[in-house]
Amino acid sequence: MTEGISSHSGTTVAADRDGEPMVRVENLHRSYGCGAAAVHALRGVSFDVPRGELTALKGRSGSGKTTLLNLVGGLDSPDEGRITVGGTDLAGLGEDGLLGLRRDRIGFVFQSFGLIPILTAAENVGVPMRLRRTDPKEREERVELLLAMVGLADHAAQRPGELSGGQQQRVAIARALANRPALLIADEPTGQLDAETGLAVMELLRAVVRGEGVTALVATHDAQLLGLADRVLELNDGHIVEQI
Amino acid sequence: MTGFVFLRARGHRSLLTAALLAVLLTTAVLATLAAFAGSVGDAGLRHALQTRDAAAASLVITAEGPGTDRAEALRAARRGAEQSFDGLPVTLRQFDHSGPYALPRGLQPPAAREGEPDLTELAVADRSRVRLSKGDWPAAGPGDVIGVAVPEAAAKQLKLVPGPRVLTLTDRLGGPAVRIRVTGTYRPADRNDPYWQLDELGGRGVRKDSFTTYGPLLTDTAAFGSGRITQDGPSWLATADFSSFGADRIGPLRTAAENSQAFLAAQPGLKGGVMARTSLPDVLGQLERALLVSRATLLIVSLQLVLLAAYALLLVARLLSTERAGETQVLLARGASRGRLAALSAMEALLLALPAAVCAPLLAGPLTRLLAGQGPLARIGLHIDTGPTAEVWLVGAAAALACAAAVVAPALTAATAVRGRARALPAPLRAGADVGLLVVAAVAFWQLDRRTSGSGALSGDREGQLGIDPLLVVAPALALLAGTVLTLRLLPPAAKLAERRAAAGRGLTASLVGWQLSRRPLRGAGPVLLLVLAVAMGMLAIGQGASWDRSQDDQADFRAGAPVRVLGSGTVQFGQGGVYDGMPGVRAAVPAARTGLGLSGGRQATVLALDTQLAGTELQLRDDLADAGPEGLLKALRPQRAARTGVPLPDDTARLVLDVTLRAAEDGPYNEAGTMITLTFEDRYGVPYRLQPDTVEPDGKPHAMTVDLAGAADAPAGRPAGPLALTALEFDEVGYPDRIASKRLTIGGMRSITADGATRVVTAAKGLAWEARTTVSAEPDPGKKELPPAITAVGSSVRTPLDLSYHTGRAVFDEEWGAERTVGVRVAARRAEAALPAALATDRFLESSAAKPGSVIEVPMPGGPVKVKIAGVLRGIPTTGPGAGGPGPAATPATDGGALLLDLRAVNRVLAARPDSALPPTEWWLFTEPGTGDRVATALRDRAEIDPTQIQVRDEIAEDLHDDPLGAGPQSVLLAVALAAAALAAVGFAVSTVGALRERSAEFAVLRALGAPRRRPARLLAAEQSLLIGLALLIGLALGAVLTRAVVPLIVLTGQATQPVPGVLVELPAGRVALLVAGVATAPVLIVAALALRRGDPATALRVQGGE
Ligand SMILES: Nc1ncnc2c1ncn2[C@@H]1O[C@H](COP(=O)(O)OP(=O)(O)OP(=O)(O)O)[C@@H](O)[C@H]1O
Ligand SMILES: [Mg+2]
Repeated sequence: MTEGISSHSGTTVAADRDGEPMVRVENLHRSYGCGAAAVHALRGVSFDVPRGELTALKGRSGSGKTTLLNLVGGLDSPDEGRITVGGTDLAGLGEDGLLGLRRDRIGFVFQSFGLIPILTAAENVGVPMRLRRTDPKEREERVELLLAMVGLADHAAQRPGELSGGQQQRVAIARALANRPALLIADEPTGQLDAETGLAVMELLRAVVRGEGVTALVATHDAQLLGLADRVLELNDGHIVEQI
Repeated sequence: MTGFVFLRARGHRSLLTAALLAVLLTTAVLATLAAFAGSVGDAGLRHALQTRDAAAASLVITAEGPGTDRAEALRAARRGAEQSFDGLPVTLRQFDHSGPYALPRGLQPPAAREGEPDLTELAVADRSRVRLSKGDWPAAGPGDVIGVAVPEAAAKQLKLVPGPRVLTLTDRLGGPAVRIRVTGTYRPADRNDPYWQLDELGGRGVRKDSFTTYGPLLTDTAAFGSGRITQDGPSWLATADFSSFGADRIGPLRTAAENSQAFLAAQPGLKGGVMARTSLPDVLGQLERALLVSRATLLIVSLQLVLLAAYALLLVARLLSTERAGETQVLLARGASRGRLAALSAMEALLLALPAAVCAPLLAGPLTRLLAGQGPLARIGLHIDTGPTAEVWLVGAAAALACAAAVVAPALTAATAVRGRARALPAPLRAGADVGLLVVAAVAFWQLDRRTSGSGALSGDREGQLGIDPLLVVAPALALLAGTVLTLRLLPPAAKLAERRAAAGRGLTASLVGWQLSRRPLRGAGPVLLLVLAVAMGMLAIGQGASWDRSQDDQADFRAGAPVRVLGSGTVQFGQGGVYDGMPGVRAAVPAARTGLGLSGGRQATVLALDTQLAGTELQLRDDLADAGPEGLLKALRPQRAARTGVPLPDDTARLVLDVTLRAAEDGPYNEAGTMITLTFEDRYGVPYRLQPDTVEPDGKPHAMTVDLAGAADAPAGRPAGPLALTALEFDEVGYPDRIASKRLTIGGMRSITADGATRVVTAAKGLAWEARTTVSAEPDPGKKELPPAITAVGSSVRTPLDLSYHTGRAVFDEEWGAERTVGVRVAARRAEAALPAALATDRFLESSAAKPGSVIEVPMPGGPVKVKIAGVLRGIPTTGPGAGGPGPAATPATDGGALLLDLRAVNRVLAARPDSALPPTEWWLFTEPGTGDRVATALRDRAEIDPTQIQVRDEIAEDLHDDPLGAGPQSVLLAVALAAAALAAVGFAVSTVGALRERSAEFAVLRALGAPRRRPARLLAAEQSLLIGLALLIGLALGAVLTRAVVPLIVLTGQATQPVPGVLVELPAGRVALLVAGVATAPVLIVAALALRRGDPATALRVQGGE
């Protein structure tokens, strides 16, 4: 992974072949189980996520959003089709390659926040950097910066249980940005939040995409939030039905 | 509803399986313990009564005088015996014997024919107790010659063989003589059979004391009753069949046995008088105490096991209730009533309990057999009943129900509690409870510690009724609990310290482990506590077993003193010293003398004088018996080396001939009989023996005076401890000396004659000097011009060992033939003045006598008290004290005044300066080549002059102690319990690990999504668990060591439930402890290894629901 993402400028520059979209998905198929009980979650999905944009993925429950995001994030592999992230074909990466991809180039934000309950907000944000064995001093500085960015500088020492849902999700976003990823994947990041807080979180994402030059792929079914996206993809019954 | 219960159970298959396993394990172990405790006690009791204590448990009935109606007497004896044995089936074996008869003189060696005749008796013995070794049994026949069978040993010594030779026995009590003919020889089928208590010779065939007795000569019943033989009363040995005896009948049997004399005397068939003798009441008392100790030990481990099981079950229960919290909430929300939920739980509990309640008692039988088939119980062949009793079923059912309830109850309470945070006690309250527990445990421990000096496990109430000390049973469990709680509280702060360091690093694994341990301490505490408990219990088991074994050996060493100890012999003392010389296997024979010393308060101390020089390094005293180590103290006892005094004789001297001349001028009316000379010979142990060989006429002519040293030593059985030395000569002159007349006694020459007749001249050493003194019966009155006797010259030369000139003084006799005057003359080889002997005293002696180290006390000795200086303190002196079971004067703890250890040689040096005093050895401590103790003992027991019971063999004592079934029983259990503890810990550990894995699966999925390698989270958990395992083992080891040291001295008691002497040394063999640790750690380590190899599924990451 020499075509790195590390730069100290504060903005992440995709060092990939320019002009190519951040994510390219072609004819993706994924089904679960086999025989009569098989569920064909994705049936030939193709789309591009252009660099530096916030792309929203909408669709009804069970339409295959999570399945798709897992595939793009390299957590799962497709039955058929091709995914490139930053020009790299995921199928060509081994397990270690996928690991490095997730660690260094993709940030995840989960619907359920996914914070480690025994760690403070700051420690949670530091986890991805520990995975990369970042120098402790640099790590602490970046954690401080990120928490300030998501407006939680005063809550660094609090544990998830002592934070509100919106605050927790902001910590999760800060953590996702810790290793300066090129791609931010968020699966219904506002699913567990009330409308107002959800909007605030979405606005934060919007701001991050603008400010840090990150490309974001966000699954949601909240119509209100779709307004903040640059593009909206709609998934229905395993197909992309609409691209705005 | 049952359907739903099963449905619900399927949802938590693995946890419920673990719960089921834990319940089954706990119940099975408890049921087995109950079965074992019940049966091993009874089995041990029966075993002891049938083997070790068989003789003591038998009843010897002796009818006095010739019985009137023999059949009626037998029936009466049987009735009395049955009553005495409280209705147990009784076997009666009869022994009829005659009065004493004298054997013909012709059978004696010629030299002995002048002395006492040899004796014998005729008898009819139970034929099942004897084996014919040669010839035939005597049969009824015509004629007046009675056929007899002679004991093998007697036949050998008397050189009797079956044949037509007729011998005449004379009745010692004046009855008619009896003519006998030897038809055969026999020997006892088993010399240790209690039956031989009836025979005065104990089945040995020959006994030597003042008389030599051979016999009994067995005759035919008809001949015995023919009237030609003077009969003595019949005697019977009554033995009970204890095979159905149990602990519950001890009380009634004891009462019955105590009244055996009364029962028998009340029988009309025995009105001639009867004597009953049995030690059964004492034996039962001891067994009862031993039984209590064994039960206390079992209770201690059971309680600990319950603690461990409760903890494991609690762990399972907590996980189950956590897993089910949501489900329960849903059920409540859907309108299920709490009652219904409770019923559901109860149903589930029943499902958990039922298999355990049924299987456990059924398993208890085979498990008990397995237990009994191992270790010491198997070695002594203890048979154990293993059918499940009602008690075992009850224990199984109760234990199963309790376990199941423990598993299900938390889920139930969780259902009734408000969902939310766990209802933990407020921190100060919890801390208070912890402190309270620690204080209680500390007090219990302190109390335990104080009891070490008391009677250990047993407590006596006011009526003197013994019971199990509840504190002893509870304290170890309490200590374990307190120890684990302490661990629990100390774990988080320790982890916090470690966390700081780990979190400062770059990596994730170490820091996450640190965070986990410090911030979720209770999650890790569960398995830690289980392992701690298992290791600590295992160590207690190992410590108890090893210390018990060691203590039995130590007790045997202490009681025996030496590998073989001869307490008494029929040989004269002068002849005992050389008997053990050159005996195969004997490395050193050390003489010892034992006397008593009365102290205030009715206490009696034992004084043991031992040739410590000879005992040297052979005498093994345990290091802890003296503060500074016993070696140095023993050295302090040894007297300084000194050259032998007197005229040394060649070692093989059988007879000594001295040319004695007594020249005396007439000094008044004089006794005509001559002067009786007494010679003192000192053997190589420095013990003087006085022999009176002959009288000497004062005729001025040399007389050859012969000293038969071999004869005086009882040769050939006896032999003095040569080389001997002539050290003193004494004589008394009784007469009426009315004028001074000089007298002269010379020993002109000495010749040593060996047993073969070879003669050697004995010469005195050049520097030999004599010291002579005179004594007189009445002080001379100077007013009457009386003069005391005096020595005028004494000297020696090489040719003339002694040349003594003296006169007997002058006395005035007012009336003719009035009181005579006795003048004693004693000539002794000059020797350096004896030093003050050193003595080692026991603590008990110092306490009883108010003496201190350094003080000089007087010890009574033959020939007057001897002053000794207390040079040191020993905690115990082998073979002395109430625990030694030896023939000391002090037998009970109350009257025991402790003991003094002296050096025999040092004491005899002091006594040598006094006329007629010596401390001859009464015991012989034989130190043998390793492994030859048995052989030496057998050889000694075959000697007629030594009573076999007077030989103590260290290995036999040790074997007896080790084979104590009531002491060995708990040992097998302890090991089994340690195994069960390890198994329970493994189940608990597995459950808690799986629980932790589930609990943290979401967390791990997130880590994987963030780019952690697939196996990293599992490795993280493995690292955490390994750390916990290591920590647990360490704490377990520490806690186990402390606990073992505190508890073992209290539960390792003698078979009589007293503190062993010497005290218990706690042993914790490192090898076995290492094995235990490895064993306990195996399952957890395997689980952790499996964990580390697990791969996670990253795809679940984005589906993760709920953090915490
Ligand atoms: N591990 C699985 N095994 C079997 N079927 C699965 C699995 N994961 C998802 N599915 C099925 O695939 C389909 C798509 O599921 P997915 O989780 O991607 O939907 P979604 O759009 O994320 O829904 P939601 O908005 O409710 O989260 C669903 O029909 C689901 O039942
Ligand atoms: Mg989804």
